[in-house]
Amino acid sequence: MAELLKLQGLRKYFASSGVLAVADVSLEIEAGEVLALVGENGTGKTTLMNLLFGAFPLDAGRILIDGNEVTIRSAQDAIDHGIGMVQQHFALVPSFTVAQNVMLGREPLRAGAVDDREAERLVSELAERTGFPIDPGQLVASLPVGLQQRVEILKALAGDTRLLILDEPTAVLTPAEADDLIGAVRQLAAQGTAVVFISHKLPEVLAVADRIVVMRRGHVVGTLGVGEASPATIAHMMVGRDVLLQADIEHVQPGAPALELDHVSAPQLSAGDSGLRDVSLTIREGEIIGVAGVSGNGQGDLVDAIAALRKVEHGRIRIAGTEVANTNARYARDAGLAHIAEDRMHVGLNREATLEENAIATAYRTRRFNLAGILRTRAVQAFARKLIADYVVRGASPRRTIGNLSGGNLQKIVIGRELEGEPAVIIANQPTRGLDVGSIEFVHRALLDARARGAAILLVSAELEEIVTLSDRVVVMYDGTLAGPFERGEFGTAEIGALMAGHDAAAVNA
Amino acid sequence: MDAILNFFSSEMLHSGIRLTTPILLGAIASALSSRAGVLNLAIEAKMLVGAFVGLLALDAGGSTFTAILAAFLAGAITGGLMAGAHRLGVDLIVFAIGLNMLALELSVYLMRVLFGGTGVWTPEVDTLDDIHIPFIESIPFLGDLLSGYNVLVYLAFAAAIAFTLFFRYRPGRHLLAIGEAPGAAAAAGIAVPRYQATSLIVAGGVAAVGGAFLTVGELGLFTRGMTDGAGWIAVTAALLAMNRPGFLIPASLLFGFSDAFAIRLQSTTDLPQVVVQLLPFLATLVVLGIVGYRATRAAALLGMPKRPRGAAKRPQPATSTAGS
Repeated sequence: MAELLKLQGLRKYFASSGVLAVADVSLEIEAGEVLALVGENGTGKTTLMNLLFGAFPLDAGRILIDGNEVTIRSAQDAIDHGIGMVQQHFALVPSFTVAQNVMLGREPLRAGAVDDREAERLVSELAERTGFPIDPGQLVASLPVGLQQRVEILKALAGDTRLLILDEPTAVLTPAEADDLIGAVRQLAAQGTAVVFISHKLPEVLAVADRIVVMRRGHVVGTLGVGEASPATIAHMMVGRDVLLQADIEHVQPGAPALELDHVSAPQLSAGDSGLRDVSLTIREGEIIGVAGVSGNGQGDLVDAIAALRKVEHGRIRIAGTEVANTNARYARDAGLAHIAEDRMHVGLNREATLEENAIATAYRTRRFNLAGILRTRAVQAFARKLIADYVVRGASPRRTIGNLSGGNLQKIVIGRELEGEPAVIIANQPTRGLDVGSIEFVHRALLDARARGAAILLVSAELEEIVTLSDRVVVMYDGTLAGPFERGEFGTAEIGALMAGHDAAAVNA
Repeated sequence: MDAILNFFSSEMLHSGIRLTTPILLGAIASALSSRAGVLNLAIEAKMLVGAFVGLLALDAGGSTFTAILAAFLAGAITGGLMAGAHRLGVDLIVFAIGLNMLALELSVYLMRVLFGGTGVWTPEVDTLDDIHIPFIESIPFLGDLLSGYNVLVYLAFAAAIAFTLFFRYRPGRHLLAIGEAPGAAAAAGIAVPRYQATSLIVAGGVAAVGGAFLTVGELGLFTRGMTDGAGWIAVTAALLAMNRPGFLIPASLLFGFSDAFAIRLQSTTDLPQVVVQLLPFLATLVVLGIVGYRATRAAALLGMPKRPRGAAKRPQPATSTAGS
């Protein structure tokens, strides 16, 4: 079969950041084929696809569709050539309906005016034909993330789309939603649509792809048929060395209780989280407790209550013996808390600030960095340099802003800062979300090292694998209540999954 | 009871509608800009420009029609300046503050240079005629309310209604998308910068006609800062209407009538003038309070937490564009 799309020698250099994002990439894709594009963060996968979608001009190279060279200067050009793309960040108009969003830019008209009823009819038809069912009259703002993504996919398919690009599509989905998506993508390919599936989650790549293209630092380092690929071979190609996928964990004898929650209740503050209902939990020194649960079931409130970022109604929270409930974040930190925040972009770090400023953000009041209100610049710089060296933060320099570092490197800064000074209790909230294999491994090692020297760690994660791998004990959150803890070996992913869905423990064990 | 009825005379309602006109035109301009995703705080400047240029054209021998057209064009050029600044990435709030100060002082400067050192410029010109609608005019009360305004009054209300209908058409729908989610609009192939520039230019023209209403339409004279905050009140009216065209008329009427009410109070009571003149601005303050309160309430209703933690509900990009 002739190839639908062929890329020859594509190259893109960003002068502003001095990054050669795409070095020299050639690849082709056939109609009806699912091509997985894998690689660590910052290897140019997204840039490559944005080149194809007209986001930036090419520095060199040719794009051929059906054997003819084309120039793509804008998203509209790409759409006209039958290319649709679903970005990592959704671009939807919240106050519009599903149909209005899907048909944006190509609204059907009646007597000159926009015909919303016709739009809804067209969208239901499209949804049925492509295997992404949805109610076209719903307001997008009221849809859960999984369905919003479906709207994005339908949008990308609404033209005569022959090539669909999905950029990290499963990052926002629950495992069940991700399975659905993979099924739908396969079905789409069976109908003849070519799909580029960008991901760094290896199991799903193996499930969805016909061919796997691995990128590293702007280059294609290999192409594998799905039959010849295994997680280990792909991971090796991505990172350029062997990676430990399963953290090997040494036994640590737990010590005294470091974090104690005693019948903590807190009201719901926003529609996004559920509050806490009579939560009790003890974490001892040298122990990792994993918190599983579908996001929005109280994990955020649990973390915020411990970090004294929100008020609680009842109950006591002690960090290394100090009562911290209803105090403030500084007080909790002084008691021995480190907090790896869920949102590293906005809460964990200030991307407008320099690495130095970020590195001392939680410690700038201490004698180490502060002499009677004046910063000890030399100590600050020394610490920033040490952090860069110890945690291998690539592309960083102490006095430069950290805004254009990749997700993995940003997280290294957070972890370097939080683990400094041997905190008694560490909250790690989604510490590896959005990171690539190499960075995930790094974060896991850092947490395990902290555990080995006696830190009590509360690990909140949407990745069940991660929780099961790292945790000594696991609790499951559902609607503000805790189930468990379950000892290592006492739990499996299936049981935890059932608890996450709201089945009670007795029913699961039966 | 009679005293109250007398107070709310049809005359007062009539003047309320007249006073609403510049506010309504300014509010349309403000809402149009906001819908294009640009906060336009230079409405006051554009109204002043329109007021001055309109009278200038009228004095130069133009008809009232040419005068209004000239005002529209001058406002559109001011809007064009803003659009150009926006394209260059200039902070439009700062730019608008500059424009407001420039328009205030430049109009005074030109007035003095061109027409001598007086504080008020009163050229010998005929302002717009009032239109008396046959039949309707003779209906008691309603006739007074609906008939006997100049063409700009009717035009302003017609423009507000046309703005409502605009959203049923493709460009209007695209504008809505741009204002709310420019990224989504751009991804759908909509030329966001062009829409924004056009909106700013049209908004400039519309606001300037609101200014011309004061000089060409009503007074036939120009003084320093004669718009007297009408542009700011227009911005507030647009905010109160949540930039929804359907609400622009009632929101503007609220301010127009509070103006008329203040004037009426002045002529019928012994309340000190300063207190009475404060009234429209007091109304503005109250409205801004309501708008602010409503914004936080609305955010809570939509399930947005006050702290940016909600931002993390969507996973953060693993790759930044430049770092990829």
